[in-house]
Amino acid sequence: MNMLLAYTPFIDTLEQGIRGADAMQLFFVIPLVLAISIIYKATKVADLRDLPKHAAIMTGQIFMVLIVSAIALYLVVSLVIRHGPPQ
Amino acid sequence: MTHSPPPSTNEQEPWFLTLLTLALGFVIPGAGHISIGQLGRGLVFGITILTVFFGGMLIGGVQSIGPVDQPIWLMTQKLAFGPYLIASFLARSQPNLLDFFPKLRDVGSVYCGIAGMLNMLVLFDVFVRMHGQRKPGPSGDAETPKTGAGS
Repeated sequence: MNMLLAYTPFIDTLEQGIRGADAMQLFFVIPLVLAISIIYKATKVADLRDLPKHAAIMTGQIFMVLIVSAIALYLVVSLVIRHGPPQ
Repeated sequence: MTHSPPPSTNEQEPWFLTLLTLALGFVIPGAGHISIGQLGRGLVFGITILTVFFGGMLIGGVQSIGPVDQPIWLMTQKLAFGPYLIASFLARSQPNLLDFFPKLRDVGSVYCGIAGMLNMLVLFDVFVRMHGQRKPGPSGDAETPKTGAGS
């Protein structure tokens, strides 16, 4: 309770306001990817009304690549753990 | 400060106007686009970059500003100069904070650094819109980019 009272947004880390935020750091990639997609597509589209659609598509593409990369790395690490490193 | 939209002809902007626009965009994200008459695009850039920068501060606190042990993020954060100045002022007024969480501080540093890099991308875009050769679209829209709008 004392930590919640002492929490000052933008000064203290989020962990001091929301317990467990430190353990959820991977989820912070979601808004970051969305922002990168919005900025990149806003430089590309001719009509800003198309921006939400293109930004959503690019966000999905980035997450697909991230998920596929994570699965591939997981498989590689699993193989190395099971069979040992290549001689 | 506001002048006409980028011309579709080969007419070039004066160099000092280009420098002024780039400086404005460097200090206030999105202001460069607004100054050349692209209000909507400038607002999108400004709101998004400021949200990312101050979102990083919300996550990592002022400790995520100017991390001396991470020179890459230290430099890239400065590319969003206006927000960086405000954040630096806040950071200097809060010395020796307790309850240090390095993971969240790193996430905050990355957020602020990427906001700076996005601002650099926006500055390139405003430069291209002022001086680049953009083909007119089917309706004569001079904003149609050379590479198309496909994803």
